[in-house]
Order: sequence, then C-alpha cells, then structure tokens
Amino acid sequence: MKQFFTIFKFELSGYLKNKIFTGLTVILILVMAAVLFFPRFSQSKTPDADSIGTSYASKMLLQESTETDASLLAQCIKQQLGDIEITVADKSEEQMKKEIMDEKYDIAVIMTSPLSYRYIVKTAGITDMTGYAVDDAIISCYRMKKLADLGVPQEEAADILESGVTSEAVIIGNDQSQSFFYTYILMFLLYFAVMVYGQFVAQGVALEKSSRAMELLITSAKPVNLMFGKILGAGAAGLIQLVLLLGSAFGFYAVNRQYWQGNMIIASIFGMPAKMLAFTVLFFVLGFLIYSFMFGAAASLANKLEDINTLTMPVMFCMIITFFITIFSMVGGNVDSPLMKIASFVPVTSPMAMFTRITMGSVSAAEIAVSIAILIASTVLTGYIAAAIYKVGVIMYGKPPKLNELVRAVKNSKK
Amino acid sequence: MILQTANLVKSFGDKSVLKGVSLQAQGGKALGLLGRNGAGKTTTIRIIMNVFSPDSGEVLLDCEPFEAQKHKIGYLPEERGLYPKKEIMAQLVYFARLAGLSGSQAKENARKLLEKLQMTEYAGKRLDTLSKGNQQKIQLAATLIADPEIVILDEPFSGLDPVNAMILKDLIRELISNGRIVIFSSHQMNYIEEFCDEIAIINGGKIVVSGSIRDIKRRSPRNVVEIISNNTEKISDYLKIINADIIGDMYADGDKLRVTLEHDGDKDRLFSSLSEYSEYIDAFYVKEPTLNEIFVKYTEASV
Repeated sequence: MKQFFTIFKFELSGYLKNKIFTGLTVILILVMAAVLFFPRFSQSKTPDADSIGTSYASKMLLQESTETDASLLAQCIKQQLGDIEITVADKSEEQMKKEIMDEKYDIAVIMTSPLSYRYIVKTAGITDMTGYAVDDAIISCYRMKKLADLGVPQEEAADILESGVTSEAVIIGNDQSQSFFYTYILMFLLYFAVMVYGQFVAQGVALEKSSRAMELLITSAKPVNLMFGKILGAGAAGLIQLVLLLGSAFGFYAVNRQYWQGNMIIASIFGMPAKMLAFTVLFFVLGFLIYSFMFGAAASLANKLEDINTLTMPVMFCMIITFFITIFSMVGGNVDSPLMKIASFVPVTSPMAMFTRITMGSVSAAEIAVSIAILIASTVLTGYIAAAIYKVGVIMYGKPPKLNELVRAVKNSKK
Repeated sequence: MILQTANLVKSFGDKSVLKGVSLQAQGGKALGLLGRNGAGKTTTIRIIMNVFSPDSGEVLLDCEPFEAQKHKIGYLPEERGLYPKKEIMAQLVYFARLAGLSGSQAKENARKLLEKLQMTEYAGKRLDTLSKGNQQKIQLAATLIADPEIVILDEPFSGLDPVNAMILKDLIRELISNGRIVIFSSHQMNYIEEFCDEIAIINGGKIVVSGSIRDIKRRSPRNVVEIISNNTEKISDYLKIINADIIGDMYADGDKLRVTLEHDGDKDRLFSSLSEYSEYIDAFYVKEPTLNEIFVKYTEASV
C-alpha cells in the first residue's frame, strides 16, 4: 500500500508540476473569467440599459404629415423609447437629410402612409433598435386611432392594446429546454475529460516502457501498484482540474449573476440542480476508471509511443460510439429510446448514456442504482483483467502480440 | 550470504528459454554471468528478481527460498532507462521510495551517491539534458540508491569514458568489499577478469561452464606454449626439423613464438629439445586461454 501511494504521489505531482497541464488549466479558467465577466464591463459604460448589445437614437426629427397625427405618434414613440427627444417639424426631405448629415438629429422619420414610413440615418448601426421601436409605436398609434374611430374611449383602447398573456408550465419530469444546454456542456466535459485523461494514462504507460524506465520499475515495484498508482494519479489530476474548472465557472457566474439575467442559455446552464454536478463527478470517476484501465492495458503492449494509436483504437471507438449514440438521442429529443435504455446499462456506454438520461430523460432511482452498480462491478473486473494484461505486457518487447498470443501469455503468467 | 538458483526452467509459449539454470553467487565476491545475446541471462536475472516465476526450479538465499520483495536489489538493466523529462533528484528519490526508504533517507542517499559520482551539480537538472556518460552515471545511482544487498549490473561500463570507468570501478570494488552479492554481466571480458573470481557461462538456456576463472583456465587443455626469444626464426626452423611430429601449429610474432602441440604431454619433449638453444631463450611457458577464448569455445556452438 505504501508503494502504491509513492507511485500515486509521483504521478499526481508529475501532472501538477507539468507546465502544460497547469498552463492549460489557468488558461481555461481565464477564458471562463473573460466570458463570464464580459457583460459586467461591457455594460459599465451604459449602466441603465436593460439588456446587452442594443442602442437607440436619442434625437428624432418627425415630419409633419397629413397621413397621421404627428403629435400622437410622437407620444407613442416616447412611450416606447422613454428619454428620446422628438421634434415635429414641417420640413422637406432634403432639409431633413441635411440636418441628419450635420448631426443635429440621429434619425429622421417621414410617414408615407398610416402604416409605412421612411427613415433617414447617417450610419445604420448593427445594434440600433430604433426602427423596431418606431414600428411598434406606429402600430399601436394606428390601432388606437382605429379603435377611437369605432367609438372606443382612449383609455379602454389603451388597456385593450396593452393586454398580454402570462403562462406557467408545470413540468413533472425534466424540462428539456432548460436541461439541454447544461447536459450538452457536461456531456462534452465528460467525454473530453475521460478521453484526454485516458490518453494521458496510455501515454504514460507507453513512455515508461519505451524509455525502458519500466526495466527498473518492474524490479522495484509490483505491477499492480504501478498500474493503479498511475491510473489513480492521472484520475486525481483530472478530478482536480474538473473541480477547479466547474468551481471557478460557478464562482464567476455567482459574482456576475445580475448581468446575465437576460441570457436564457447561461441562466439555464448555471441554474442546473446541484445533484447534476454530483452525477457529473461520479460518472467522470467511474467512466475515467473503466476507460483508463482499458487504455493502460492496451498501452502496456506498446513498444514505441507510436504504437499506442493502433492499440488504443478499439477503446477510442467505444468512446466515440457512446458519444454519438448519446448526442444524437439528445438532439433528436428522445433520450429514453430503447437504444439509450440499453446503452445506459452497458458498462462502457453507461457513464454518458445514463448521465444524459438522468439530466434530460425520465429514469427511476432504481434504474440509476442498477446502472451504477453494474458499472462499478465491471470497473472492478476490468481493473483486474487490465492488471493481468499489464503485468505481462510491460515486459513483452517486439511486435505487439495478437489477441490469442496475449490470452496465452496472460494464462501462462497466472500459473 | 549465498544466492543460488537451482535448476531454473522457463519457457514463453513454445519457446523454451531456460533449460535448468543453476548458479551461485557469494557475498563479497563478484559473479560474472556470461552468455551471448538471447542465451537466457536477462530471463535468469528477472526470475531472481521475481519479475516472473520459473516453470520449475527455485531461487535460494542461504539455502532458504528467496523472496525478492523482502530484500533490496539494485539492478542496472542493459537497456538503460529512466524518465528523460524528469528532474534527476526527483527520480532518484522516487526509486528509493519504491524500494521502501523513508523520504528523508531517500534524499540523504541520493545526495551522497551523487556526490560520490561527482554529479551533485546536476541534481536539479532534467535527465535528457545530460551527456550519455552522465546519464549512465545517474542510471547507476538509481541502481544503488537503496543501498542494495544484491547488485545486478548488466554491461555497467558501456558508454563510460576512462575517468568515469575509474569512478565506477571504485564503486564496484567498494560494493564487493562491503560483502554485497554482485552479479556482473558483460561482454567486455577484461572487466570480468578484473572483478570476478567466479563466472558462469550460459548458452542455449543452460550453464555450460561455471566456477572460478582460475580453475576454468587450469582445466583447459595446456597444449599451447609460448617461447620468448631474440631469435625466433632460428628456433622455429630448428623445431620444425626435430619436433615436426608433435607440433600442430606454430607462428612467430616478434619476440614471441607460439607453438600449439598435438598433445599436452609433449611439453616435456619440446622443453628438453630446446636445451641446446637455451642461450637464445628468455622464457618458456604454457599459454593459458584468455577468458575471451573460453567464452567463444563454450558459446560458439549454439545459442
């Protein structure tokens, strides 16, 4: 056990001292900080704006017109835009253009019929929403006038026009519109974390073998300790990174919550139930272990670093297939399809499939428990088989063995 | 302390690698384990270190079954290997910890050993920044870091310059004089002769000859004689005339005339026939085979 901890500590500190590992973690945290702090700084210049990225003209010239009641329209626009300064004047289009050019006004509006107008601006800004507000004002002005013509008093007309709908949804299972985004992100995180750390394990094993450090290692430590120490060392590094990333993301969001209220996607991601995070960590741990055992065993048969690509191919395929089954079911909106039901119990696919069904589908606690139990049992079994392969693999040189040769070698070593 | 292997048999699949290897190494003496590539040396060493177990046979220490895990063994593998990208001190401490040393003891040993090898200044460097010879010294440090009772050195001198070879020689002598069991495997016979009293030559998975170098040489046929003379030509001509029937082969090399006799027993006749020419002769002696010749003789046949 002491030996296992020595190896575990050596491997873990190898990751934590690695400049690429720490650099990448810091960069990812900085990127998240940049994204999540962005609205705070982008809005500090215009603190009164309700939402991000929109702007309105502040000075408007409105042409006197026979088509509509210009002063009523000016009132309606003011209702829509608040602090806009509107000048009603009887000027020709040419004069108006000149005044816009001279920047006396931001926008000039010419009514051509009760429901159509032309407007003049110097530059059409991407975020300028004045046009939409004018549209709304013209429509409500037109409707009020029509209602007034029909004899409806102005106040009643205003009430009718302002009436809106409120609704409340009672969702018994998961709200997929809410859970989709965070499931998507967590799924990707799970997939990449398992893939990247599995690869780290494979590379570590192959590197020890190809650099022949293994020659010394196998004579000073038990292969079982070597393998589990290496895998759990990488796993712990992965877990630390995952917790750091998730933790800082939630931390940054908490600090900037008020600036993100208009954003549905971000709000739904960070509004995920805490138990989903717990499931992410649980399935990362189990998924990482079962895949790393396979990666480790496969890499132990490598002679050169290049060999691991071929040797770990089957494991990669398992991962990719799982990923696609899950992602297509998510996008297709049916995460409880028969295929997903099967996948959520098969050990290699269940870390992702069951996770997705928990977050987006309807699955009973018993099903979750059975799936996790199967996964744990198979992880232990895989660990046992992987250790047996590793033990013979690391001292096998020459061409990577065929499957039957490997089985025979493992059987021989058990004698 | 006596380490023995008794009749080790091992095969991998259909390939039988060891067919009954018995050898013996004593504390305070170095055993030279010789054999051609693929003869079974590494397999024997790995069985001793319990990397895998033999199909039959056993390893004994002082006649008790040997449990490698309970003893400190230092191994310098022929295929050198450490972590190229890691700091030297960290690696040495790691291997010491794996062998069961405490953290502070590990650091202390590493420091002392680096000092002894004149490598202290490199402690904080990455291994791959060192020259090949210096990497070799670090490899040796990793072998000896836990102060092992049993030391197995496979080609320890390859890649070392004469100065570093001297440092290593002193270290090996120190190990031997401290009563450690040293198993020494090399194809450089001069080093074997320098350090080892005993050798075991393994060929085709079997020990073909073993024992003290002295005895092995003594046991070899003593039919080659060298005569040192200031006139080898005259002696050679004379011997051709009177001793043609007992001489198998003869050639002169400067002051040295080497005569290979048909039989050991003809030495006396050769010696007495030379009495007439004694004025020309400085020395007459039996030429014993070199270790190299012994090695070739026993391993030429097959692997």
